[in-house]
Amino acid sequence: MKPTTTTALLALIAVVGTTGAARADDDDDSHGYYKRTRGVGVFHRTRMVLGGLVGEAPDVMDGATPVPGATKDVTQFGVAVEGAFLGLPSSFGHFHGIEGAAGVRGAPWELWMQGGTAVTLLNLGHGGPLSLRLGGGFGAGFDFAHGYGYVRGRAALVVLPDKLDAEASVTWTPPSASTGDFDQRTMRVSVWLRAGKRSRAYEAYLESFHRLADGVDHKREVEGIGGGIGLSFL
Amino acid sequence: MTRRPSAILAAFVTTGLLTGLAQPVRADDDGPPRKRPLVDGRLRQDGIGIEVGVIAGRGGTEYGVPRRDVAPEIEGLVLRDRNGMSSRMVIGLIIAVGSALAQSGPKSVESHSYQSGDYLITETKTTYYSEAEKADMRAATSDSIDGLFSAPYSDMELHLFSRDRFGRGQASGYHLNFFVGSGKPIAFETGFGFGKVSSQIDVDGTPTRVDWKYLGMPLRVSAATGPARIALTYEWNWLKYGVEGADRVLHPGDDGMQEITAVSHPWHLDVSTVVLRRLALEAGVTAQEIRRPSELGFSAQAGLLF
Repeated sequence: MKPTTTTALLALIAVVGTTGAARADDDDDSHGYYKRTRGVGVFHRTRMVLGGLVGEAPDVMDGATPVPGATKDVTQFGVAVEGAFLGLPSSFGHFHGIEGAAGVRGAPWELWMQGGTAVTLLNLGHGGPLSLRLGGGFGAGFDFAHGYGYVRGRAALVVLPDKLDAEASVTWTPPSASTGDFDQRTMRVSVWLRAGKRSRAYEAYLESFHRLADGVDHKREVEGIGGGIGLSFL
Repeated sequence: MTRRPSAILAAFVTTGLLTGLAQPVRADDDGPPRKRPLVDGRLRQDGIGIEVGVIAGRGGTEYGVPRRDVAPEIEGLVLRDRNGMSSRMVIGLIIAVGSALAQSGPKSVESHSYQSGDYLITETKTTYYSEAEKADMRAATSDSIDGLFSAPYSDMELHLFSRDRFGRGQASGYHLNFFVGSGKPIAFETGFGFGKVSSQIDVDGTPTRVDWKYLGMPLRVSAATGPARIALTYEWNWLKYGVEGADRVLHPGDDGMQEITAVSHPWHLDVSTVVLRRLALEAGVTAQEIRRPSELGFSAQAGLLF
């Protein structure tokens, strides 16, 4: 990241941090539908998804001599559950709490789990069109490749009140925070459509995932894009 | 200080000055808001919030060996969760796992050997915890974790150092501490921490790498009075005991650089405050050995509170 970019990002965080709206801590709209304690998108506490990813991975087989730089096409499928609850009002006009996620991917098959602290940095609006929530989280997790710490940023937006909302997020593990020296990054855009029950929304998402080791070919490396569908709950 | 941290600090200060208008969260049935001073040390001690900021250090910080004139400049980012959930969850998880391991392990193991004819016979008696004892241990663990979450103070402090991404210092790595504690007017906090920082500097014209590793227990006493919070922290670094004498002096490394390992149980004396209810400022002094006051390290931090 360039110095000016870093400075600009910190300045942006600083500016948006000054504008946390002062509201009661449950912060309901008239229907009890919008709450600042919800940490997935704008309206949701949990999500369950089923998805897939296509991409490339090093052509490494157990017991075989690897060819440096050789890659192969891979297709991965996965399921994941995720939740976040922002139940702790801070002394500075924001909400913090806990977040956690777990899932399985294959192939190669692996289980992953992570958890940490979720934070909000900015809330604009109260559930109407273009209501915006910036936030993120930090924590730790593990999968079959490594144990890791992560930081996450996310921006969630109401498109159509009570009907359609969206979220973009980036989760990053730098090599220095990975026991396997992996650089791992997940970028995701989710869209939720509410139809039928008010407590439930249907999700579609696009996701980019990469887990790369520095300078070596590792069988757990992968880089690709994918997507999936799921359900989210209030 | 180099240009970039100055620019970042300037951005924080400027925007921090704008934050006086920000209001804390209030429930509808709250009374009128308590007027807080513009420079508030108690808010630093008692407030709940996440801090995102920058840190710079010079001189004999714990990441160098000042008696060998090895004093890397450090610059990086600070992430702090004051009185939040992070530290409580991590320490609670460790207590729960430790308790589970203790319950499943043996209570005692006794063995003795004796000669019987041509044979050496060893008899081992392993005693496990009874169900009643396990229940007591579970209750004690539950009480401990309850205590963690009801304790008034907790702190997760992460310092991230970089030479090329978010800092122009000479150090790269991280330093992480988790605290939980209580007490007024003097608060006592403790927990555990770990870290790993590698610095590259020139010592008498020779490229030198200094490595610092930390796994241990931080202990802190602190008090807030008026505009300032004062904290004295001691970091008991268990890894110090495993460093050989040859690694504590400058020696040739494998890659042509000199190497040295920094080891100490450092003391930190910090003074901090919150300005305009949003901007956290902190200045600190580090002593690797209290007997050598001329080899102090100095640090400064600034961050925004969310």
